[in-house]
Amino acid sequence: MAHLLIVEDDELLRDGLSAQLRQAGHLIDTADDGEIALDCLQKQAFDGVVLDLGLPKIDGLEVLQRLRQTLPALPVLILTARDGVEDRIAGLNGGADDYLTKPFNGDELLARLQAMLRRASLPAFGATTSHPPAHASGALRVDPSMPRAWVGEVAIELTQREWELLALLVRCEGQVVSREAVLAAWQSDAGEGGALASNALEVYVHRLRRKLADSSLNIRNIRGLGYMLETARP
Amino acid sequence: MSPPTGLSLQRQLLLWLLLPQLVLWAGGGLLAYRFALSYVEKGIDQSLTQSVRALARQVKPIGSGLLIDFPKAAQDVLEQDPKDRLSYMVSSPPGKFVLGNQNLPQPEMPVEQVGTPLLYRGTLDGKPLRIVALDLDYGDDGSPQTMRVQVGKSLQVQQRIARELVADMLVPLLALGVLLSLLVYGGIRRGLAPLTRLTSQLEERSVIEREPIGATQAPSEVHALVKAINGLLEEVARHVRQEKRFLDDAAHQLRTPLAGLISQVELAQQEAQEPALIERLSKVHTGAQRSAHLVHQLLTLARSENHTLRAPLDLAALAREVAREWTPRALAADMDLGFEGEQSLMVKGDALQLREALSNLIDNALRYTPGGSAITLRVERTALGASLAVEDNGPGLQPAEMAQVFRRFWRGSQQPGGCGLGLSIVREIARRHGGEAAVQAMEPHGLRVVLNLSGKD
Repeated sequence: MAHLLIVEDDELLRDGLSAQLRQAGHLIDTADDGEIALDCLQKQAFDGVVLDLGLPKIDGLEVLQRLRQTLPALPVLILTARDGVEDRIAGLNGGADDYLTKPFNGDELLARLQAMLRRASLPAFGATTSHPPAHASGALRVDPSMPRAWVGEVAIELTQREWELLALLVRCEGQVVSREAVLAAWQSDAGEGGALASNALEVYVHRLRRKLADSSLNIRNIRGLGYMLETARP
Repeated sequence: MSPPTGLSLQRQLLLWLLLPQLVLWAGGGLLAYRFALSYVEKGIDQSLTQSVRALARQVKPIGSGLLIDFPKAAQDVLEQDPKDRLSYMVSSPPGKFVLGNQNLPQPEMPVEQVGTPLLYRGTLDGKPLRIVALDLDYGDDGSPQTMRVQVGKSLQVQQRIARELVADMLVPLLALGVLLSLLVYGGIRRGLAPLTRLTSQLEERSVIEREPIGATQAPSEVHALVKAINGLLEEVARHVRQEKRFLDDAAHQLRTPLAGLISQVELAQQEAQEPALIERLSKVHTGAQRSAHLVHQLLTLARSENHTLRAPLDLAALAREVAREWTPRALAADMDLGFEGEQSLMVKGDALQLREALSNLIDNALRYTPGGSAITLRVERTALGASLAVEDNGPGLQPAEMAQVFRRFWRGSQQPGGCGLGLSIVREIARRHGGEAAVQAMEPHGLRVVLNLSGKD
């Protein structure tokens, strides 16, 4: 359960969205313009924000800019009717964590929100969070500063490269991580360095999969595109 | 580029600057020839006068007869140039042949004064001559007599000298004329350069650019033209901006309520108990999604009519990036979305438009292939440049349908969700990249939509 703020001026959508997210088990507050939204954010602590861009009084992008000054780590998902690539880039450059265009599929929104909240709550690579990580069985935690990780309460042993690969996958949960991105992350590591055989990555992924066998997560091979960390399907 | 529109400014200027020059040159040549003829004639007249006096001095009257003391030296003087064809005749009384060439014609008018030479023209053996006639008195006071001495010179030499003179004058003039023409041509090109620059500036320009055309070094006439064009461009840009704003507004106005509608219907679907109601809600949901899709496609189509900005890009990397963006949706629909082919392939293209085309094709494939299918993006090098294909192993299309797919608002089968704009957008984008889009059947079943992109601009 997370405490979310929905900023949306259209009543029909605000109402529907709130109900859907409440059904999914979240605690919801709403704001129908930019001013009210900034006011709410000052007075209460939220785990995440769903932000429309075309808002009365204060525009969504400006709301984002202002809230970033005081809440740099607050996960923000932009929900907008503007679907141009330029708009997407403006939103993400403005500090949004994810971007979804209207109209959207309810399930997709929920999945994206879930991934965004999980990324924020996983203390991987310096990410800070107001909530202590859940220690439920199957939950994965990765130490941001050294090659350690836990599945539930059980520590799993990781080499430097396995840890770097896992951290990258966790940071990009729900998104495809390209082979190039993994190799770039490894190359920047001064400890091991050197050229890597192209099939080395597969070996590492295979080993990691075995180590995550008890977790609720799975590393999926995406044909020709890379790898993706996803919640294992029952 | 342009339809036939009269003579170019450059040619007109050249014509009107060089044609008078040609007339001047021809007229000058003719006049020079005339002057040369008359000056040469004067020279001939002078030498004829001298010759006739010299000859007259050699004719001495002896009693009633005439003694002509014509030494060799004098003959040499008279006949110094065989081509000059000097002829002489002495007659006494005038007209009665005594000595020389008796065919030398007599003057048509009488010699008015004794002792003064008369110059006139005549012909000898059909050739033009300049002749001088000098009448002299001799004899005693009791029997005065008159004799006539004539010397004629062929005029062929005069014409030859005149021609040579004219030629000597005209050859340097001709060279000067060529030089002048080159200068005029260069000057015209230089003068018209601002227009040429303006043309290329306008050709390279897109309607969405806002900066006015620069004309800092252009002459004042072009300044006015540039100013007028800039005014027009500003007007066009304003219209484009207005249209873009309208599109953005329309997008917002249409999409937000549709999102609300879909969200409400999704909630109702979860809350409904009655199977008939659930089915009806599912139909409403499908309809709302179709409207949403149509709105998206219409806006994309409107945007794709913007200017295409082609720059070097890695087509394979772009395809993988778009595929990665679609992966979560593909996985949610239980589809295997993957990439095959070249790892890197540089083309010149508009990244936004190619992205839009690919998104449309992936969206189509996700819509029209059943769960569990595979969708493959494939980038390959071709003779033309590059090909970008989206393949699926779904049911594919009937051959009759394949011919229709690129038509606007055409929709295959009774599948939900489509609006029939996706593929026509894809084809438009392929054409803007100097290529074409095509659909092919896959073996054993499935559909392949391929964009063939030209490597050239």
